[in-house]
Amino acid sequence: MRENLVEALQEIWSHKMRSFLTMLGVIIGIASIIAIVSTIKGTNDQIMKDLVGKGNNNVSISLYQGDYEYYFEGDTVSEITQVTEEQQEEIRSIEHVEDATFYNSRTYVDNISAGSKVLSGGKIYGIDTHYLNTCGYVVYQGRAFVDIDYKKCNKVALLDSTAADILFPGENAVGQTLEISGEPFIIVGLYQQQTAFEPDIQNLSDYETYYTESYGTVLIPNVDWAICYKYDEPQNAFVRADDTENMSAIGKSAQKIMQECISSSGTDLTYTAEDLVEEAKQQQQLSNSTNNLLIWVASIALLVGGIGVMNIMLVSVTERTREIGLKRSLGARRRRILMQFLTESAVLTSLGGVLGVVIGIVMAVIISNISGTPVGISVPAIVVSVAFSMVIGILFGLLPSVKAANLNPIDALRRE
Amino acid sequence: MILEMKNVYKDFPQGDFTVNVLKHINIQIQEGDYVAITGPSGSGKTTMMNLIGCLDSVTKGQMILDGEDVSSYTDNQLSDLRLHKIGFVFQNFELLGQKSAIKNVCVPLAFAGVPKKEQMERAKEALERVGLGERLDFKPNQLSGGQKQRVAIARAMINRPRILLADEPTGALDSASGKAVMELFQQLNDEGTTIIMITHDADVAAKAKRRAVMRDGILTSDDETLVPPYEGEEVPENDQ
Repeated sequence: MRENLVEALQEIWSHKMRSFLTMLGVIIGIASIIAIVSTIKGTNDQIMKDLVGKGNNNVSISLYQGDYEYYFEGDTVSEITQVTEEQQEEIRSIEHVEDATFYNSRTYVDNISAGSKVLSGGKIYGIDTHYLNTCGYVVYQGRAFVDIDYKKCNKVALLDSTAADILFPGENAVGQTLEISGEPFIIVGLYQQQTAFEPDIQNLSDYETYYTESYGTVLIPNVDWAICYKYDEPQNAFVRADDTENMSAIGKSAQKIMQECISSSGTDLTYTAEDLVEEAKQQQQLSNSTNNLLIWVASIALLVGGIGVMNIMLVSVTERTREIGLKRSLGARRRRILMQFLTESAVLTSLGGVLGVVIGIVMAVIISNISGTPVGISVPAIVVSVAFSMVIGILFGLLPSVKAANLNPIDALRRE
Repeated sequence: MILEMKNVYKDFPQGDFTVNVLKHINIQIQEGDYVAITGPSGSGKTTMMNLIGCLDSVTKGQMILDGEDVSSYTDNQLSDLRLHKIGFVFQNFELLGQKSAIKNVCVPLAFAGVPKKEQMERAKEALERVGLGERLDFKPNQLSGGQKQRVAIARAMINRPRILLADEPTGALDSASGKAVMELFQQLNDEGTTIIMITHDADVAAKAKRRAVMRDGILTSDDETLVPPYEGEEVPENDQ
């Protein structure tokens, strides 16, 4: 085998130009496929990143009425109860769940003020003790809520820097008082995103999800929610998965548990997990199916390359008929001659495959620079491409090799 | 006995009829013999060589090589016989142009599965024996005709064959080189190698211990062992 390999390389090297031209079809085919696959992978990675956000594996489970998110207007909802402690623990114990938080919220609030300043358009959350950890927040000044705040229903609040700046411009907000629906709350701390938590902001939707600080956000213990909004409203949830891949499954499991809070009699309320991964996958499928067509087109180049290899190998067998005759007369079996030509053909196309991979990656990078689509180098695609080009060599080399092996040594030696 | 051909026929179909190239060949060659097979063009010398060299098989009759009846051997069995029992020397040397002298000599060893290191050692030794110890890494195009033929002889002898089969070994050489090659053959024969040589050249044939003359596919004379027809068998008319 080693002998065959060395001989194949020598033969290829001794006809450098011819070998290169023969490889060209394979090179072009493989390069196109690698460029396309790298672009697809890059696009898919980007879709996943855009939708899901790097470093944030939170699944949001919210209450929906029909197709729209349920909006609380200060009324009780008789068909639904709060998510119980047991249910919360059950969700936290689902496999691959790192943490989960259950919260109440209002957006675009106008009932938060401090003196003459009003936090208009801001957000307020009634949070449990898991909220900061699950959503990647950290208190950078003052303190977080402690158990006693929850036990005694202390009227305390945490502000983000935007809310602090709006309500207490130029002052230290910690220790000050603000009013929510007329109830005084003491600000015990200021919070912000952890530095390690860096969601990619690619579009407006991402911005709204992660950086709505321009309007300011206030957090209060969930036990105080009824003080401000009259009722213990059913909660929504954020469940953090250990990996993006597990988000869909976790979302479904948690959604099922929370669904138990809704009585089944004739209501259109549902808990729905926002399945970003599924959405990303759907978008990826769309981009895949378009690009799979391109791969088929590139495969035609490979087929043409294979035919070129077969043609040149047939020429090579004719040119080397005397050599084949000599080897047969010196005692080489047919199989050895067959293997020699098959090896040569496979080495030729494999080299073409390797060159094709390199050129394909370069092409992908150039395309990426021109069009702005990212590149994702896929190692399995590279391995499969090189293996596939070898298979092409073997397939298209088979006919010439069999022809060589079946040459009659007497005729072969006589050939001029 | 190293080779015996018993009533051997070789036919080649050609269109609707058959050409009988060899007819009723009977010859016995002993170990250590040095036989020249001569005859005019078309007499069947080359076909005879192909049969003895196991490059082809007989149409009828028996060929016994080193005690084995090889008449109905398969292609693989014939390949193995060529590898281990026959050494070929051709008129045009038939060296592989891109390989050095020593690598050319290694070729049959590689076919025989000899380890690389041993291949090189044995090939070096063989080339030294034919006086080319200084030319190991020369490519064929850097060697003279006589030197090329000596490389070919070293290659033929490398697997220690029972028979050295030479087809017009001096046909492409000048007289001095031809003489040197014949001396080498003589030396090999003196050391016990059985040599069968096909040649037109009467001077070359004269160097052999024994001469067999072919004419129209029949062995007409063999100055040592003319084997008579087997009992009850008719010697065919010359119909070629």
